Amino acid sequence: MSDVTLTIDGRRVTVPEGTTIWDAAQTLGIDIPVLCHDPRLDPVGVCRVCAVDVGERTLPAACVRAVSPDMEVRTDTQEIMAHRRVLTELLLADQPAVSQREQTTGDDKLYALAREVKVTDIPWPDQSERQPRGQDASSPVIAVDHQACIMCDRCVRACDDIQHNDVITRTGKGYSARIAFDLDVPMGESSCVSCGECVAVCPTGALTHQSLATTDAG
Amino acid sequence: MKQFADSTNATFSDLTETATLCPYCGVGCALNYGSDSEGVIHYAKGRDGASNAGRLCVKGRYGFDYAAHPQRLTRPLIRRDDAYPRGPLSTFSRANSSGPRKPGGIVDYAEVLPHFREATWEEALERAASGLAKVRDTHGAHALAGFGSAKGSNEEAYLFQKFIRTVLGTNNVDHCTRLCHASSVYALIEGIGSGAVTNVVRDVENAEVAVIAGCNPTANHPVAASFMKQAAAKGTGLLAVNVRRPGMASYCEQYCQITPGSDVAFYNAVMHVIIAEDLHDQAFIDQRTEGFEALAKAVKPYTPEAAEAMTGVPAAQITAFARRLGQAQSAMFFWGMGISQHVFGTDNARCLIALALLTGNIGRPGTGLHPLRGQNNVQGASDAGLVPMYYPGYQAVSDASVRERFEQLWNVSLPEQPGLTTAEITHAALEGEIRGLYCMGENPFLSDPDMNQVRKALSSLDCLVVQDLFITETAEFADVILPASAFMEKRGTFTNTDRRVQIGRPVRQPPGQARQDWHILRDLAQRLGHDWDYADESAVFDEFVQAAPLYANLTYDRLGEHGRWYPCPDANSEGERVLFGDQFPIGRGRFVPAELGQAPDLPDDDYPLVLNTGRQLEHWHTGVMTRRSRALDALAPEARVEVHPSDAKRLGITDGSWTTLRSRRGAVEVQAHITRDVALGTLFLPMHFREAAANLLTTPELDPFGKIPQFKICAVALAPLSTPLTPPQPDAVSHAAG
Amino acid sequence: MRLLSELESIQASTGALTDEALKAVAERRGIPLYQLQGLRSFYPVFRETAGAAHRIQICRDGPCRLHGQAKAKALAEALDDDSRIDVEYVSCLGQCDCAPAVAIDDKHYGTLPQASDIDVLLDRPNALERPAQPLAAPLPTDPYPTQTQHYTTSREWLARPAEQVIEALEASGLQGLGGAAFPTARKWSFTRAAEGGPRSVICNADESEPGTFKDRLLLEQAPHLIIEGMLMGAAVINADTGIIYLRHEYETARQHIETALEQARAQGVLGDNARGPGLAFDIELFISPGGYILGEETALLEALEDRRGEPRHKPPFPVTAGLHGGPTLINNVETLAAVTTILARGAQWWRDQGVGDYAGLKYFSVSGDVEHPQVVCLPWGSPVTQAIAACGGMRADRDLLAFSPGGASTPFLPASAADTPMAFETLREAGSGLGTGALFVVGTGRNLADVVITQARFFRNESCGKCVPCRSGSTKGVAMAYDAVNKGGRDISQPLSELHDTLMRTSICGLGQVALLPIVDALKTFPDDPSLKALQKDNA
Repeated sequence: MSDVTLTIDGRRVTVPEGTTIWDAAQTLGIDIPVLCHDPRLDPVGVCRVCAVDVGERTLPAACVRAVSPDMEVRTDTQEIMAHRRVLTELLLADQPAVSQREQTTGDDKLYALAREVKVTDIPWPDQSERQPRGQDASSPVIAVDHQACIMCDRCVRACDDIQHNDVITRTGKGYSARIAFDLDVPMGESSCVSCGECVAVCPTGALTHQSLATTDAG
Repeated sequence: MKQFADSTNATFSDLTETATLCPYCGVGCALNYGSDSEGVIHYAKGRDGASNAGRLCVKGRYGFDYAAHPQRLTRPLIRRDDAYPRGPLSTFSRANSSGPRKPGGIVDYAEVLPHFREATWEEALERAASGLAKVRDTHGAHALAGFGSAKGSNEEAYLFQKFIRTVLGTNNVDHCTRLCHASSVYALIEGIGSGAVTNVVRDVENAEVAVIAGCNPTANHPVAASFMKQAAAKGTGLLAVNVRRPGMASYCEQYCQITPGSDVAFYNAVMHVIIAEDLHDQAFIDQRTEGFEALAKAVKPYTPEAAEAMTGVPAAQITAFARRLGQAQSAMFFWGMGISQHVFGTDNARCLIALALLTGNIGRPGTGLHPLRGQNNVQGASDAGLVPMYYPGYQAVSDASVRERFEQLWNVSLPEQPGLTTAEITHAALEGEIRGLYCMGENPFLSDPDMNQVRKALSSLDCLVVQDLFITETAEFADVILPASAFMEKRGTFTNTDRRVQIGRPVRQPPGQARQDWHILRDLAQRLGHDWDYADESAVFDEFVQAAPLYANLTYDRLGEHGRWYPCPDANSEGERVLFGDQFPIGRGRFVPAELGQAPDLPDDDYPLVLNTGRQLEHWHTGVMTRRSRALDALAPEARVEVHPSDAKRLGITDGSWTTLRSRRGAVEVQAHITRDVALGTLFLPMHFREAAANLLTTPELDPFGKIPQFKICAVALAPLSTPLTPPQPDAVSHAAG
Repeated sequence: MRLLSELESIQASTGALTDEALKAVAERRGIPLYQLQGLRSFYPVFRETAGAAHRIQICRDGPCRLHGQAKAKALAEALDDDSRIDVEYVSCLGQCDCAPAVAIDDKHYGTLPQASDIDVLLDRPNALERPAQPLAAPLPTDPYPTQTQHYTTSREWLARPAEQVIEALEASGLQGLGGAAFPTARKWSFTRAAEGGPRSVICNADESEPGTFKDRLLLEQAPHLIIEGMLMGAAVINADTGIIYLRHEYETARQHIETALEQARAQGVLGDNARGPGLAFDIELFISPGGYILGEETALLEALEDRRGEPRHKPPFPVTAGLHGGPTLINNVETLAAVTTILARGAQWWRDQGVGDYAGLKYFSVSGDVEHPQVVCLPWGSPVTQAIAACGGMRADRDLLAFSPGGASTPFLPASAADTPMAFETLREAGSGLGTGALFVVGTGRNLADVVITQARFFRNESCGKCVPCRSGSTKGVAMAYDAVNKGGRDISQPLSELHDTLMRTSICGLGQVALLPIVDALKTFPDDPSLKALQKDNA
C-alpha cells in the first residue's frame, strides 16, 4: 500500500493510503473532537462533530473519510466551529438535567464537548417533553436512559462487533429511533450477558452502571 | 431557553485509577479499578491488555465488590473447645441438606461464628504452627498436606509449595489444577513435553478453523470467546464438539453433540477419516513426530459409521468435520473441562494432541493447542510448583539431580517420597494417613467430588488451618482461620492461559487485621524455624525465576503495566506467542493412541439420567467471591438444573419447578430450567451453589494419569418435588460428621 | 431468498411480524434477534401486530394536504369507532394526481372517499375513484408502435461495441432524471471501468418525494423500455444481475413489470444468453418495504443487503463499490427508459425534441392547484406555464402564487418566475431546481407557510435517524416553525437559517441537507407573504 501526502490545517503529513483524516490528524497531534467514534470500533460517522472542510459541497466526517493525495483539510474554520457548536447544542437540548455518567464514571463526552465549545444557552427546543424517550431499569447492573442517548451507535458496535453478544440494535426511525435489546424487550429480559461493554463505550448517561450500592442482594 | 448545566461530580475527580487485572478466569484481562481514598472500588474499566484489548465480561466488570463484603474476616479465629469433635457448622454443610436458599448468606455466619473465638495473630499463628508441627512430629511429615490456590499470585504459590516442601517436609501439595486440567497437562507433557498452551487465544484470528472441544467459552472465558466469535465473523470456521450445546454453537460452522464420554470415539473417527482420505500432513508427521503407525492402527476400526453408534453423531457429520479440519491450512484446538474431567480425561486430551500432530497444526500462526485455563493463575500456580510431582518450572521431584539442585537453592534437605494429589489427599485422610492440612484459598468441601466423603475426611483431621477471605464451607472444619488478602489488596504476578505474566496491583488495604498471604506464610515459616526473608513480592518473584528457567528474563521492572509472555528469549522480547515452530521440548511429538473407555457410575433403571456439572457465566467456582458480589448475585441468585424438554415432560417437571436430583451418593433439591441445550437423557447442574451442591452427587473416581475426578458424568434420578424442604434451623447443631 | 423479502412475505400473509414469527426466522436462519428488530422497526410496511381487518392510509403530504385536509379529518373521525378499520396518516403514496390520496389495505389506491362509501369500497377492490390519465401506451418516447417490436433496439446494439453505446448517450446529452442530473454516459463509463465484482444494474423505481409520480406512469405503460435500458446497461458494465427496486405502493406497476419480465424471459431477452452467447442477465423485481429514504441510492443498497436502509458515506460511490461491494450502475426509471429511446431513435432525434438548445423529452408530474393534475410529456426547456396549461390551467378561483418545480426539496418560486424554461440550469439559476420534474403548483389564497412547513415535515418524518443534524435538526427545525405559527414568539428566521446551514453542510445524505430548505428559502423568497410573517415576528 502506498503513502498519501496531504495538508491538515496547513501542516503536511504523509500517511498510508486508506488512513482516515481523523487518524492522520492524530499523527499531527490535532485532536478532532468526536462523539460517535472510538478507535476500537469501525467508524460510522453519524455524530458529525468531526466534520471537516476538504473543499467539497458538504463537510465529510473525518473519522470515516479516507485521505487522498494533496487533500487540503481544515479542521478549525469558523464555519466548522459553528456547526460543531450547533450539533452539540442539538444533542444537549434533549439531555436530562443531570448526566448520570458524570455521576458514575465522570466521563460524559457530550458534556466535555459542550465545555470545549463553550455552550451556554441552547436555542433549540427541548423535545423531551413532547416525545419523552424513556428509561429502562430492568437490568441489575446497567441503567438505560434513552433520553440521554445520542444514537452514536457505539453500544451497538461494542455489543455486536466487539463482544459479539449480538443483543443491541437501533430500532425505529428518525427522531423516534433509539436503541433496543433483542426484539425490543427490557434489557433485563433480553439475552444480554451484562458484559458492560456498551456502558464502557457509551459517551453519555444513556448507558451507565447501576449503583452497586443500591442493588438489592436479595 | 435551556442552559447547559455542567454536572461534574466532585467525588469522581478524587478517584484513583490503578492498572491491575481481573481476579477471575484464566483469560487474564487487564483493567483499571477506579477507587477512592477509602479503598472503595467504584468501577472497573477494561485496559488495553494483550489478552483482552480493553474488553471485560460481567465478572470482571461488576464482580469486584466481594472484597468489601461485610462478611470479610478481620481477625484470626480459633475454634472453641466446645466445638469439637470437628464437623460442619452450617445447615447446608451438614449431610444431604439442600433446598431453597436462605436470603442473604453464603455460609450463615450466625450459625458458624459462635463456634469460633477471635484471637490475636500471635496466638493464631502459634496455634497453626504448633498444630501442624504436632502432626509432623507424631505421624511424620507425610501425614501433612497443603492445598494452595490458583487464585493467588505466582509468589504466593511459590512460597506455599516451598513452605510445604521445606518447612513441613512433604510433597503433598496440590491445588485446583487437579480438578480442571491435570489430565490435559499430563497428556501435553507426554505428547510434546510442555504443559502450557502452544499459542495464544487471540491468534484464532489467523486460524482457518478452530476446534472448540468440551468447553463453553461464552460462559467460562467470555472475553476469549469474543475473539473467537470475532474471528468467526471474519471467516474462521469454528467447529464445536460438546455434550451440552455451548453458547458458541451459534457462531460455529458445525456443532457435534456427542453422547457423554464418547470423545475418544469421535476424535478417533475424525482421525480415521483424515488418514483414510489422505488429509494428514505427512511431511510434519515425518519430520516432527513419532508413533504414527500405532496411531493409524488404533484409529482404523473407528470408522464414522462405527463412531456414529458410539457418539450419536451421524457418520456424515463426522466425515464433514474431518474434511473441514483436514483440508484447512491452519487449525487451533481449544478445549476445556468437557475433555479433562473424566476418568479417561488424559485419553481425551491425547486424541486432540494427536489430531493436531496429524494435521501439522502446531508451531505456526493460526495453529496450536490451547487448553483454556480456568483460574486467573492456574497456569502460574502450576509453573510455580504448586503440584506434588514438580518443583517450580516442571522439574520432576522424582529426579534426584533436580532435587539436589533445589536442596542447594533452598538450603534444606527435601523429601524423596512423591506427593499426593488433591483427591488422593482426601482419600488418604479417610484412611487416616493424612492427619493435618493447610488450606490457603481453596474450598475443597464444595469443589471436590463426593461431598459426603470430603465431609468425613475433613472431620477426621487432627489439624486444619484455613487461610481465606471468608468463613468458607471448608473453614467450618478448621482449628484456626487466618484472615487473608483479596486480589485487589495485593501485589503479585499472575500468569494467564496465554502464558502471559502480568502484575496485579493493590487498590485497597486488607480490612481490619487481615494480612497479606505471603506475610502469613513467611511468619509461619519463621515460627517453624526457617529463616525466610524477602524484601517484597518482587524478591520472591526473582527467587522463583531463579528456580524456574521457564521464566528466565522476566522481572517486575520488565513486566511493567502490560506484562510479557513466557518463554521470553531475551530482556527486550515481548515473549513468545507461538511455540515449537522447529521442535518440541521432547524432540519429536508423540502420538499416544487411545481406546474408548467406559465411565464408572453409568445410568441404570434406578438412576437413568447422566448429570454433567460445570460453571455458569455469572459465577465462579464455589461462589465464595461471586455470591458475595451484589451484581453477580442479583443476576444469578440461584441454582437451576438444566433439563431437556422431553425429559421434563415425561417426568412432569415444568420450568422453574422444584425437583429432587439424586445420585448414588446423595441428593439435592433444585429448581428446573428447561432447555434444549442439554441432550435428551442428560442434565446439567452448575457447581457454584452450596444449597444445591453438585458435588454431593458426583463420583470420586479418578483419571489414572492426571488424577482428575470425573465431574462430567454421574448417574442420577430426577423427580418433581411438590414443596421444597426448608432447611433445618441452626438450634440443633451437631459437630459430628454426617 | 432475501431476508427482507421473506419478512415482506410473512407480513403479507399474516398481517404482522410478530415476536413469535421473528424468533422462528432467527432460529431458521441462525441470525440474532436484534437484526430482525432493527428491520421490523425501520420499514413502514412491517408491523408488530396485525391490527384491524382493514387499513385505510391517508396521505398527509404536499398536494394531498392542500386538497384534502378537512376531508381527511372528516373521514378519520367518521371511522374512528369502526373496529374493522384502522385509519392512519402516511407519507406520500405517489398518487398526487388523485389528491387527496388514500390506500386501502396496501392494495388499492385512489382519491379519498366519503365515509359513507367505505363499506362498498372494502368489498370492491379497485373501486376507488381515480382521475383519467391522458398519457397511455405507446408513450411519446416509446419507439415501438406495437409490442412485437419490443427489444429490437437492444438486439441491434448488443452486437456493437459498448463504447458506441456510451458515445450515443454522450451525444444525446442525457442526464440522470432522478434529480441528480449526473451525465449518464459518464456514469456508465465509470462503472464499466470499475474493477471487481459482483456487478449489478439497478433501476431505482422508488420515487417517493411528494409531488412525484411520473415514474409510475412509465413503469405501468412502458416497462419494456426500462428492461431494455437495464439490459444495455448490463452489456456496457458487464453485469449479470439486474434489480428493479420498486416502491410497494405501485401495485399496478408491479403487475405490469412482472408480466413484462416474463415476456422478456420467454423471448430470451433476459436469461442465460441475454447479453450474447454465454453472457447471462436477468432482472429481479424487489418490492421496497417502504420509506422515502430508500430512494437514496446507497440506502437502497443497504436494503438490498438486508439491512436498515440508512445511507452510506460517499465515497466510495456505487459505481465503484455498490451492491455487495461491487461496481453497481444505478439509474432512475425515466433515465433507463430514455436510454432505450435514444438508442432506438438516435441521439440526434433526441436532441431535436427539446426547445432550442435543450435536448429530449421530459415527463413532468404536475400536482397541486391545477385543473387536472397528471403526468405530462413536454420538450425540455418548455416553460412552467406550458406545463400548467397542459393540465388545464389553474384551478378555478385561483391564480398562481408559487410553484416548486422539482419535488419537495426544490424551493418554491413566485409566480413571476413561471416563464422559466424547465431545465436543470435554468431553474437552478432561478433559485430552485428541476429535481425529478415534479411541479407542485400552489394557488393564491393558500397558506404558504403551511405548505412549506409540510414539505419540511415530510423530510423530518422520513429521516432515517442515522446522523445527528438530520435526525435532531429536522425535528427541532420543524418544531420551531410550528411553535412560531401556533404560539407566536421569537423571530426564528435567523436561528432556522443557522440550523439549515448546519444540516446542509454536515448531513450525510441529501435528505438532511435539504430538510429545512423549503422553509428557510421561502422566508427569503416570499418576504411579504402574510402566512410566513408569523415565523419572523418577535413576541407576536
